[in-house]
Amino acid sequence: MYYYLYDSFLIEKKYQKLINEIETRVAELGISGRVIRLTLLKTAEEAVESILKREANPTVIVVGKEETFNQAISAIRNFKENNCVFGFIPVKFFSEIATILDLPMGVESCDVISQRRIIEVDLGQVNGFLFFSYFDLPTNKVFLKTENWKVFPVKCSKIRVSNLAFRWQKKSEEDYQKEMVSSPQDSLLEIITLKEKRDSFFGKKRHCLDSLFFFKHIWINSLKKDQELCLQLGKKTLKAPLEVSLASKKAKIIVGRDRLIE
Amino acid sequence: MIMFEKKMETEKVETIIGSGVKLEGTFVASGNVIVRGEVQGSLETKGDLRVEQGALVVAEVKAGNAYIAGVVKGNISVNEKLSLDKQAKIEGDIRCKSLLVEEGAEINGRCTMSDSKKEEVFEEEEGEEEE
Repeated sequence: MYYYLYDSFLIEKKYQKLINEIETRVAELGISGRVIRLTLLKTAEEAVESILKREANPTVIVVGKEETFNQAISAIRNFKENNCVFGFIPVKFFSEIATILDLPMGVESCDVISQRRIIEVDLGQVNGFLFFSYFDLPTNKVFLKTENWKVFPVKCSKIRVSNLAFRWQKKSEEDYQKEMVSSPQDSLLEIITLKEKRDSFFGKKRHCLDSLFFFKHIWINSLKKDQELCLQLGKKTLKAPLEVSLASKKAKIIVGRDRLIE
Repeated sequence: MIMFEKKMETEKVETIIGSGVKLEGTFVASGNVIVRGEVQGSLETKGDLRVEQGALVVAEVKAGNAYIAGVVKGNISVNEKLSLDKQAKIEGDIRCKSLLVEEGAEINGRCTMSDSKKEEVFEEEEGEEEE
């Protein structure tokens, strides 16, 4: 059965027309299902957990923001076996994930959902909690450690741990690579460090790719003992040391034909 | 904007040790590696290694092919081709099959350019004679 999770911001009246259009298109395609409206008190994670308790093979479609889609997928951590398929209809906000997975904005995504082109993707795990796309570290005063090597960021503006949702394009000669997409099917996670640069003296600051590492298991901790590192993952706050690894669980997601990953 | 165009050509993603980080320890990779920052310990890859200008590598280096334009303090062992830029500065021994040195590059160490397998056989024969 199909379950449609409507993001909490869609409750506003101005989105009613769009919701109606989506519901009409979904009915035309014969993929109607049960609608669940998310609120501050009912998160995507809780909604998916209650669906999975009832049904073994549901299809959960998140309508709204990318963050909500990530939260919905992370709910499978408590279920040993599941055949849940996740879909995403991006609304209002630009979504890097949607671009990579070839999911068009709004109503047009319904057609992609109905085609049910399903791929299995890796998931990341931080202190036992799953993540599908990425998380940014709140500070650059950290060090990253694997069994064999350590990385100390010296001049970084941002550090990102990513499974998907990382795309880089060449903007200057210093950016060695033309275009890269992190794959959620390579059984590896990535660490990306970014540096701030100005194009010219009065130019805008922009983030440039500095480093890129691949790993399966890593520990992240604060450089200073008196500074505690806390990470906000969805609605959870995780404290350092952060143990990040590739999760044994995989997620099934619906993608478009022209996606940027295999 | 190109950013929103579909069907973009994508390149194989490589490990980049950027100028904003310092890496310590034994780093082993299977793909290509670009070094722009600082590395201490040992660095090994089956693919290509590119040490760019401004990079500092204080490590034992092993690679399939290598291009060096930065500073390397340690022995370098390359399976195929080693290219040294005019900015390159090597303090250590070099072992490779093919070597390309640009004018201005600095090498302080021994340079061996022979097939490692043949050399192993030769060493074994020498050992036998001694017996």
